[in-house]
Amino acid sequence: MTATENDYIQAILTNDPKGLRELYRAFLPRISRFIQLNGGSADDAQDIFQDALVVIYKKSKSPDFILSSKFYTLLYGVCRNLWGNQLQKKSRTEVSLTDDHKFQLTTDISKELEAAEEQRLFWDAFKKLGKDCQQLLKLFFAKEKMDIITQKLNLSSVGYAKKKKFKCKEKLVALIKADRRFPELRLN
Amino acid sequence: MEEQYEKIEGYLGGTLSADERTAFEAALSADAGLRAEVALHRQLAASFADPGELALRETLEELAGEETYQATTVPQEAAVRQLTARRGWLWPVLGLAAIALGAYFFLPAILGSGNTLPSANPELEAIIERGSNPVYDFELSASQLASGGETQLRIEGELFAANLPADSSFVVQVYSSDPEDFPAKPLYSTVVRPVEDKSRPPMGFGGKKAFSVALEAKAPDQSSTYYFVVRDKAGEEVIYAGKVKAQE
Repeated sequence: MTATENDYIQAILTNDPKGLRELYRAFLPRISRFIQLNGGSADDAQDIFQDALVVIYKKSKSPDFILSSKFYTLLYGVCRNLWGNQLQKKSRTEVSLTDDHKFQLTTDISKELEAAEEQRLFWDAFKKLGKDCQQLLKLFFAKEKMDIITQKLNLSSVGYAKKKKFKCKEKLVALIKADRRFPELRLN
Repeated sequence: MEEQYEKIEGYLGGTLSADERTAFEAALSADAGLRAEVALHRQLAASFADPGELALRETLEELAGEETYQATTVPQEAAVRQLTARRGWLWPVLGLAAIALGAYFFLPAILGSGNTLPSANPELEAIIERGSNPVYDFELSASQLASGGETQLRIEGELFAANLPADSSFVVQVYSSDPEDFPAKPLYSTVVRPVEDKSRPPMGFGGKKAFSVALEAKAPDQSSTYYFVVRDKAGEEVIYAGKVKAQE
């Protein structure tokens, strides 16, 4: 693989805004067109694009990952699968996607794909929380101890931090349950 | 409720005492609702466990909000303002407006073949249906941008071609949906010169190279369907067509 191809992976792994911006510029228009030709909106395309990059992030973090195709081939394949799954849910009949490219996905991403839908729902809910809740929950989910969280966020006491953590999480759970996609989620 | 959360988190984190655990498991086996609750908390913890992943999501959200995928173009007519010049004032204004209204002025657009927009011009519909040209494979998308009572059509995307002579140019025209207007009365006509996107390796069949195309054109109003066509340099053969309609 050329340096450029792996640069895209590096940009994702290192959360490099410059590289990621380049990635949007280079690939989003094509992905967006594909989604829009297959019953989606520009906003759907944005979501699918983001979810695909997260899928690739997770996949490329595993030590045995190698980019065995062109980056775009991988990206397109992931987007296609994600969008196909979403359409499938909506229609309940066999879905066929129009595309003029014969892309073959050589990387097994079935596990990451499976989690993608619920993660999108969770993320959409998380985004709606206030910044203070987001900060607190990020630390909590990263398994920081409550006293460290209290310190980091400059909260008055551990008791207050715990109370606030509960309130934030309760809000998050409520947002998730209120989402129309929630009933279809298969949690286990 | 708070107590229940503590119990669930304790159970999942393995910090309950042996007695508490036994009691909780008994409750679990009797209560499907509690099982569902535990499953949700477990999935939440798993989904948000990697701070790097969340940081990546946050960066991607910002990028999506700033319309990063600006295409480059070399407009040939004064009527087409360069996007870079435009960006200077437009994006901050849009950004503020978006915060104020909670929504972008960008109206989602649908275009290209195989969509469900009302067909108004059968001739152009047929060209859209025909799809891409094997030599000059255009993939353009369009959106309507409304600001200050004016409507702009923004057409951008890529041309994939194996061999595009230097100085190649194409004619892009915008038409109303009135069949009478095509082909004699375009609303707008301009020449564009695709710019090679050297950052991208050749891809697809025959190692086609990618070229960026972008332009903006004024449109009479934002509620209409517009067609856009790409013609060869001489303005004759229609190579590609698409359409755009504002969504309510």
